[in-house]
Amino acid sequence: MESADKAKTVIAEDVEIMGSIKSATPIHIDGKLNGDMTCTNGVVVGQTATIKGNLAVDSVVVMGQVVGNITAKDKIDLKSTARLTGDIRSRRLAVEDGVTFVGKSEVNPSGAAQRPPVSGEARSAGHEIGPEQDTVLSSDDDKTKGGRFFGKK
Amino acid sequence: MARSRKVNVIDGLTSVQAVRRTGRKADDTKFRQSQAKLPAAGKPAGPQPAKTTPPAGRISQTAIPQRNDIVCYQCGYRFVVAGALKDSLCPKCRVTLEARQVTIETEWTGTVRTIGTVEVKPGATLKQASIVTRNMILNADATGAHMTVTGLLELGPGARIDGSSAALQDVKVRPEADVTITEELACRDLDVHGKMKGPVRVSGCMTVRENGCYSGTLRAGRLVVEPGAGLLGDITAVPDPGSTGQHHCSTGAESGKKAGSR
Repeated sequence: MESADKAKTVIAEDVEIMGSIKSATPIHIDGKLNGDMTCTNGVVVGQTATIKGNLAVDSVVVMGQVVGNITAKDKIDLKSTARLTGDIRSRRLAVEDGVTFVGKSEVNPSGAAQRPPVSGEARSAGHEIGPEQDTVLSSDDDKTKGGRFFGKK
Repeated sequence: MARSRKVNVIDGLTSVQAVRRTGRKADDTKFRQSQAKLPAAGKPAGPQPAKTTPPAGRISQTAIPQRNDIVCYQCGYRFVVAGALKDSLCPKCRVTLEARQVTIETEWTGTVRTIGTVEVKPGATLKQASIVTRNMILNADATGAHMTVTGLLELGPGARIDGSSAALQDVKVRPEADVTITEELACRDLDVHGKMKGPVRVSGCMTVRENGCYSGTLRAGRLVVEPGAGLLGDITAVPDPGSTGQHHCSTGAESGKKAGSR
């Protein structure tokens, strides 16, 4: 499991990000993210984290709340405190007792025919980032999603 | 002062107290043997081989008898019988409940009622059959049968089941099984070791084991997926907040223990 010590990028509990995140290094998020996350490394969604957006990652450990689709190249690990509303697609999956999960699952380690990506993840799946690229905290979607989010508050 | 009690018979407690008294000095401290021993005459003074001490005596373990949850197939009363499963009497309706082990190998259209185990071999057909049993091992097509299994239903290779005509408690899909469910199957706990396909509603815990694979529409109270398992389909796993901590999904080690105890 990715820990906060291993992660180069740690988003603390009191941080709220409006926009998308692209990274090539491990990320540990305990705050709020209203946007998509693309990471070619491991991501840990902490127990206090809330993500409203799609995740395209290498592997992810979810302990908090995610409202959106998760696409992982390697593994999705849903811990007992995880609350996920959205579709998941991965090669491997581990779910602990107590997880709240509502959505479609496409996890088949035996390697059967893969269907096209689930709806809503095409946008995040299009992000291609090189391994040398560092963490980028962009605010492309501030006008659309972010504006609405702040407007609600 | 004269002692008021005369001991004529030494019981266990008195003998233990006597032994303890002999090992005690007048000032109520225990005697201790000296650790320094002189070498015996004619024996070398070098290091002696360590003596093998006999193992200390210990209290032997008491075997706890197996507990069988029985549901009366006449009145539905639930009770527990300890020990080996035999024909029992329902405490409520006084009906004799037969604990037969039934094996079905060919076509069967009759009624089976037992608190034992019913095994349906491959190649058998259950057309309009009615089966009420405690445990069942199904290796054949049972889509036309009415089944009530109050204990564990094990689904083997070739098993086909119609969920609408089955009243089930716990269901286990064996590792070598490839099970197809035609109608929604409702049960308490579902343990998938093999492959399973079809709509399922689980009130308790749904567990997909390491090499298991489930595909279909799943509604479960609790969901556990071990690494290496497959999960395809529409999933809804919302644990009931009131049941937290009361019922835990069993892990692989726990299920192994259960199997061993049987």
